[in-house]
Amino acid sequence: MKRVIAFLIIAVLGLASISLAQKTEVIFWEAMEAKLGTTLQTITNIFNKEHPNIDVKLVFVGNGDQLDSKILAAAQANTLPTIAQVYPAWAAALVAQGVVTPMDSFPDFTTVASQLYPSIINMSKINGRVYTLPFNQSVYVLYYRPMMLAQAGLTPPKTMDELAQDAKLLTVVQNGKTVRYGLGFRTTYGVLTAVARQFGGGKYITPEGSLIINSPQNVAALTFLVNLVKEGYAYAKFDYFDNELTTSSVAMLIGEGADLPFDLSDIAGQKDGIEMASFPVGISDQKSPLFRGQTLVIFNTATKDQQNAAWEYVKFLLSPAVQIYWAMNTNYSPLNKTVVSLDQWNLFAQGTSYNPSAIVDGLANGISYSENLPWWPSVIDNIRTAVENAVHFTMTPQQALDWAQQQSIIVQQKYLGK
Amino acid sequence: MNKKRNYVIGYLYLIPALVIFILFTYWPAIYSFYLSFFNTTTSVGHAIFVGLSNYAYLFRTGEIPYSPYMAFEYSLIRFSFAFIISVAIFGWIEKGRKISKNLIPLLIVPIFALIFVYPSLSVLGGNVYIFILWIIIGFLSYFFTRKMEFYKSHTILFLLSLLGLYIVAFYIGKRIDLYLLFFDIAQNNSFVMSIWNTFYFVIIDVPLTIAISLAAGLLMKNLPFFKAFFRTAFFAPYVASIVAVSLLWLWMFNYHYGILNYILSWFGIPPINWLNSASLTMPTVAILSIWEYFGYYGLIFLSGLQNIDQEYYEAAEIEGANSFQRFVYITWPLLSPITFFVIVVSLINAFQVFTQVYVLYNQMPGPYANSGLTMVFYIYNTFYNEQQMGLASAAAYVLLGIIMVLTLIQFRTTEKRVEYNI
Repeated sequence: MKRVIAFLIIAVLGLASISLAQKTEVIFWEAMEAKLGTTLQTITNIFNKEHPNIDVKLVFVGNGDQLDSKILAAAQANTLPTIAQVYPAWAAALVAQGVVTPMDSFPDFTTVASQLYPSIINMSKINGRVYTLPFNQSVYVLYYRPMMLAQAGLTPPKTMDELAQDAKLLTVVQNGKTVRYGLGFRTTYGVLTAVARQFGGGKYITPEGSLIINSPQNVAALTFLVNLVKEGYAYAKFDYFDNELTTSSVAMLIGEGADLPFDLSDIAGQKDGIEMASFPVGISDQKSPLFRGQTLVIFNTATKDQQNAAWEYVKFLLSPAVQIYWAMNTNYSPLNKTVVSLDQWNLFAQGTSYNPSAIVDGLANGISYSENLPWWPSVIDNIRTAVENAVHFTMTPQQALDWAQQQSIIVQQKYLGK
Repeated sequence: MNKKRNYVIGYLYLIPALVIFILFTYWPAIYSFYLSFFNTTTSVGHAIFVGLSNYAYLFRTGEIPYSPYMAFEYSLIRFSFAFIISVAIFGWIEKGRKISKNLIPLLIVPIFALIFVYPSLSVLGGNVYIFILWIIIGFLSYFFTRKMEFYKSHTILFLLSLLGLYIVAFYIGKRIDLYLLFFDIAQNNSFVMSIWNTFYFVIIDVPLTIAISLAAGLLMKNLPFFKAFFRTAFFAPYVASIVAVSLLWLWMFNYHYGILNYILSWFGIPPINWLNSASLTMPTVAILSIWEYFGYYGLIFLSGLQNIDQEYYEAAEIEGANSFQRFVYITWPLLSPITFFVIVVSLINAFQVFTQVYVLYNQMPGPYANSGLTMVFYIYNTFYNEQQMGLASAAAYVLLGIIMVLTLIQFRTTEKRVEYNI
């Protein structure tokens, strides 16, 4: 009998000690590849050390699209993680399914929000509430090869007119064959939107919900790009530009800040490497960068403790110290507005050859590349197809965007059940 | 009693496999059929039953210059015309060889067809009586000639003549046709575009795959040396990961540095922009796909070739048949079950083309203008990127329907020619 009692006491004590020491586990599904992944792991390790009662576990789920489809399956099977990175349109779909806890429902949300750029808060709103918060957002910038510009006696273009002019001056034709294009750009939705933003467009839907894909401003922007290709000063394709950079067959390139550690790393660091400049401004005459990236959602399927722990982690990710470290290592834009006033950042920006200040320029006036609408991926597809058709001259810019408008209206009506 | 017990035990052994099949194959398939009647991406946040509207959405026509009915009428009149004239031509050739009873339809009907083709296709087209008249005459000429030999012995020639005369009729008449309408709709409906692209791919891919793999099979059988080497070499692409293979071809197709353009340059051919041209998308994918599969089908052909009794060849040789004759009169007929199998399997495979496009074009449906949007790509994109699970399921069932109908047609048309009694 004594033995049994002793055993029971030990068992109870043992269980109690386990439950007391148990940490709140936060499962974070992320899509940060290669160097981004290790940087995020370093940040997370620091967080776990600083918060002994929380254990954030990173689960790498492949690239962004794979992560999205995994979440889709998990939402159906009720196996969602605590927190995940998703694309804005996907976040809207998850909100519609009712599985997301709004960020603004957590304590001291307003303190956190006041430190971020208002543009970031605006793009996180779905149906008037802040459901998500991003920590990895990259802005469109202009990459250029400094040696090529120097040889032509040019400085990086500051306006769209200068961009067109410089593209012309930097193009090299030998024996009737173009050996170097002044400008390269990918035929994506993002590139058109970033350029259209400078033409006063870049918005494809009004707040009332009418589509304005073929607005005169958007058509003007597409015409600008198509003309550069037509005149032979720009090279456009859907693929990445690693080849053209390594063979020095483009002088300038429209790209995202976060491309730097990836596609451009082949030549970054070379003597005649690559530098960044803020995106040239157009008739709008003000810096208005285009953000592209994922956003964080906390799922209400997790326990209250887990959700609160996840919120602690979100706050940590958006704190100045983490944002500066993240920006320095990945070239994503720091979203906490105190970062630019920190000495650490200014020293870094001045002392780094590729000009990191381009990724913080005009952030207060930025907008997201995507609308927070579940059907937006179809619109992105349509606009991408329109850009491709215009750049390959199978349609005029006006025809192409008219086509995208018409196709997107059908998608919108299907979504609205009309 | 013992027999019964044996049956029961047999079925018991099957149960585990059956359970797995039901759980992982049939149940998802049935569920996705169920899902195809729902709109999953809605403003209300949950799926709603929409009946057949996903299917209707897939085949929406948008703005079209003329009605599908009118296009159908014109196409059918053209087909009737091509059919009647082809029958007449082939009938007369056959008549030259032996007495035919069907002289009257062979003479009168084509004359009628020749006189009326221009007015019906340009002036009277769209008139319902003319349309019915054409159908009746077409049907009558089929009825009178259906027992003739040319249907069997010169199918390919007959089909070519049909196609040629159809094109002639197309150029005489108004530019209204199902084919044109289909293309018009495809511009505004990416699913119809994907059907178009997939058929284009299948038409390039399947005949070439069969021809090349049959050649490979014959080569592997008749080579005096290095048989094992060639068998392994031909089979290697099939077992290699299709992603790795596609990445390899990505470099071979490269405009500036690719080996294909380099080889072309030996013959003074200017470099071809394989990967950045909408019109070359499907041929490019087909080249990769043929290379990937010809070794596998070649081996199947080889096994068929090895099953053919040597005595036939010996007998033919004694009779003085040359190698071409031996191929046409012995190998080809006796290989027909294998050929039939390869045609069916490669056709089904070709309809499901996806990975090659996905890797070659950086996860995009072709370089531009959706030129590489195949049906499976459409399903994938609709499901994963646009989250429209209902629509994707409906598209998957349309694909299943197309494959089933085509396979059925193959079974019907070829079963009489396949010689199973080797």
